[in-house]
Amino acid sequence: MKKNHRSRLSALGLSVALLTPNLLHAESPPASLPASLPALRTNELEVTGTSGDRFISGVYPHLTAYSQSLISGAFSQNSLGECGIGAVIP
Amino acid sequence: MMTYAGHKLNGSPHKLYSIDKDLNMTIQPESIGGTPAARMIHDESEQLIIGAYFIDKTGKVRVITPKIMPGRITAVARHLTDPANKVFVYGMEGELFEVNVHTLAVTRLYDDAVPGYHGKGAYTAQGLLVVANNGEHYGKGGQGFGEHDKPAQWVVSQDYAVRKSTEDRGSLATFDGTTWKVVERRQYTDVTGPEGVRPTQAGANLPLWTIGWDKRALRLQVLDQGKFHLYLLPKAALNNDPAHGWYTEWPRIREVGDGKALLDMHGMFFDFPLSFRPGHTGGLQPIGRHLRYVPDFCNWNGRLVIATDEGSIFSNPLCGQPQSNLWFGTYADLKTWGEASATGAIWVKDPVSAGVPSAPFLVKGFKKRVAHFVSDTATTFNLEIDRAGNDQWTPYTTVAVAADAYAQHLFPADFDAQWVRVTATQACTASVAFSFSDTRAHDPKGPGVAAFAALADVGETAAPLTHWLSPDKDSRNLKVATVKAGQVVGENHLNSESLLFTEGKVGADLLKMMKPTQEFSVDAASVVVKSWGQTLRLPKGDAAFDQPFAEGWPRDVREVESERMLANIHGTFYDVPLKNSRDPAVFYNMKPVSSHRKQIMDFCTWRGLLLLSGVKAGTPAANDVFVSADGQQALWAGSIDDLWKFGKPVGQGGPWKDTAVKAGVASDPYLMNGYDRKSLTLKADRDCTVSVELDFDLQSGFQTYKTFTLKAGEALAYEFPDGFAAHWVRFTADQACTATAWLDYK
Repeated sequence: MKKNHRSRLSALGLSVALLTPNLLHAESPPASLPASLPALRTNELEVTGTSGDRFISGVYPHLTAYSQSLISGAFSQNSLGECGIGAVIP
Repeated sequence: MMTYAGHKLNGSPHKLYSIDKDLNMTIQPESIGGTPAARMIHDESEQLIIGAYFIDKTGKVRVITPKIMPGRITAVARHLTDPANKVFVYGMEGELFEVNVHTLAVTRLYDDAVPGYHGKGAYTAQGLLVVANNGEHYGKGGQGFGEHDKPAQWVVSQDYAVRKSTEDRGSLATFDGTTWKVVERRQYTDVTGPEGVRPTQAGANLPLWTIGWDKRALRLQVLDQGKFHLYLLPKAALNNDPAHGWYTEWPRIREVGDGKALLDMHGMFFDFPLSFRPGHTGGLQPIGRHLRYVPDFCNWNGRLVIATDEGSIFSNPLCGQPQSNLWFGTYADLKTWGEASATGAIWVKDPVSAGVPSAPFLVKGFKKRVAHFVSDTATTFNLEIDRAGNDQWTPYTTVAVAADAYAQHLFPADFDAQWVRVTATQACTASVAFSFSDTRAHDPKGPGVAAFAALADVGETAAPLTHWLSPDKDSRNLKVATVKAGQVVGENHLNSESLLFTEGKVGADLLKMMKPTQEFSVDAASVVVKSWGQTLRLPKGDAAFDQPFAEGWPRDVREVESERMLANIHGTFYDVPLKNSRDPAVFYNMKPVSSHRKQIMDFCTWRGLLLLSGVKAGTPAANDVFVSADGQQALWAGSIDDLWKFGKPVGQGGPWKDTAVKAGVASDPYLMNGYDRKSLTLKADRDCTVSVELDFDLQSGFQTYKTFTLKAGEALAYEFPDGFAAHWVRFTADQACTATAWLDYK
């Protein structure tokens, strides 16, 4: 299994660090929330993995799967239609 | 886990994922996408086969590319003659491959052996490969066959290309290595057995289960000793019914730990005993309804994990981009979701032979049960029951029905049996159906409602923070428009990673699409919905819902799970099926979920969460309440099946409220399905008789339940028996009058 790590996004001129709240002009999380923020693992253009521990009513948001794994998340291929999770297996 | 696109035979950007014990998710670089849902552990080679991926016990992933094996890989099954070295791979186009598990050499055996164009499950047992197909593709004008199903490719009789009725859809079929046979020309999905995703040679002769449906009921078939046995189960929702089969995904029967297995079909989980076979059917019973659209589920590290098909863009321009997430919980959690409420039929206007028992119909586990009977010929229906699921049938009761009349039987509260079957004493054309509910509905004043404390109630003087919502198509964020007095006063994003509000535009075009439009109106009698040429009436909630909120009309209908609609109308959430993508929802098939008194401006799913707008200003941030630092944006967060916690559906209203009624002209249908205790008040300004007519199965037409004689100006009150249920009710007076027909649902 290939191990990925955080890296700079030279092609987009962005950094993974952009996704941390201080650079996104985001407000500070309330003190009651988990201190750790989710992490994206990426290669230059695509998300290759995610981590996190925020858990809300049975859902870990960082485990969301998308049709596109592009860093930007941009979705431009209408023909793809959906992104169901077809199978889960331990 | 792996994700799928819609109809991609040659790959797509969708991925194969692995999630470790610490919930770190890795996208596998070997991913090829497509539309896969197959999964099986090949016992002899110790490989997981998931879609076209072959993963050995060290985690090494090999993949068969679409160039070599194009198709929507929907099932993998053990090989009939060389199971140690080969598997069958079944595609949604009906194609069957043979794959060498060591070399990954692929042989295409059949292009499309049997009828149906939407292949689903496949499994091997008792010397047979059994395949399921849940869709029918019609040609122009609804005739013949469309391009996705070519009878010339079939290797069964061409007689199957002449449909006996519109019920000929999909198929359940067997292959013995030489010959294909169609078991039934009906829609079937999962095929599996007691060993589930890990079949072995030792289990080669175990029973095989497959689940499907027709217009009457769910059809559970068991292959035992080389013969299929049919059992009927009721449906909790009607989303899955269309002929094309798109809206089922992959309902499964699967073991979930502690010796338990679940059967999921038509919006309900059932307890499914792993020992299920003829004579040993006891224990199959409903758990409850769910709103989540479930393609698979499993037990992982002691947790129940449920996969989802959450956001698709086929008919949902506000989805942004397709996305789905998992849900983690326990088996016990399922019992806190929807109630065990379902309907189904043994016969729907079907020719019935005298003296021939029907297939068994599930009655176990439902607390409130009523049976409906209609016949064109005077007959008596004999009901027999199998109390323990041991195939021992004993007489239960008889129901006499006059020609072209309606009769019903209300099962007593202490009635207990696994199955019921019905025999008519006279040959007839008949409908026999069941409406089931339970007493587990959430108390609207119970602790579950506390989960929504952050949302403003109607009548609160301070306007809540109200937003229109849409997942972004150009990032993973949620676009949030802040609305005051119907005007957009702010645009923000909810960041996908931090779940914090950030600066961000929504955009003018999207804002136009986001603005809610009203699908319903309200008059003195009820909520009014126009749907597919019909005027339908629904109960009212709090009178405050007659008017828009201070900040504008709230959203009333939205797709929040793929290919089915959720409505929030006058304080009640409804499950509303679709007939086709891009077509309007079919309100006649609707069913209530829960009722509330909240000022919910908008609702959507995003990153697996259900988000509700309408949080009280000043609410502090919490794990499930996202609040911006300046306090101007806030959203409640949970998951889709939290909606049950609002409490059971309630409401009041009717089709007539001081309405000028014409003699012999029926009222609009008024929704009755899914409500618990029901009382009726009738009143007219002149002496007349009013008949109460029921539609109990959406197919047999309205039937007269009772006729009441009214005295001018005097109200008549009637309490429906506890447990009584039907889908719609309407009223007809024999005299022109001004009348009220008012129903109170509690």
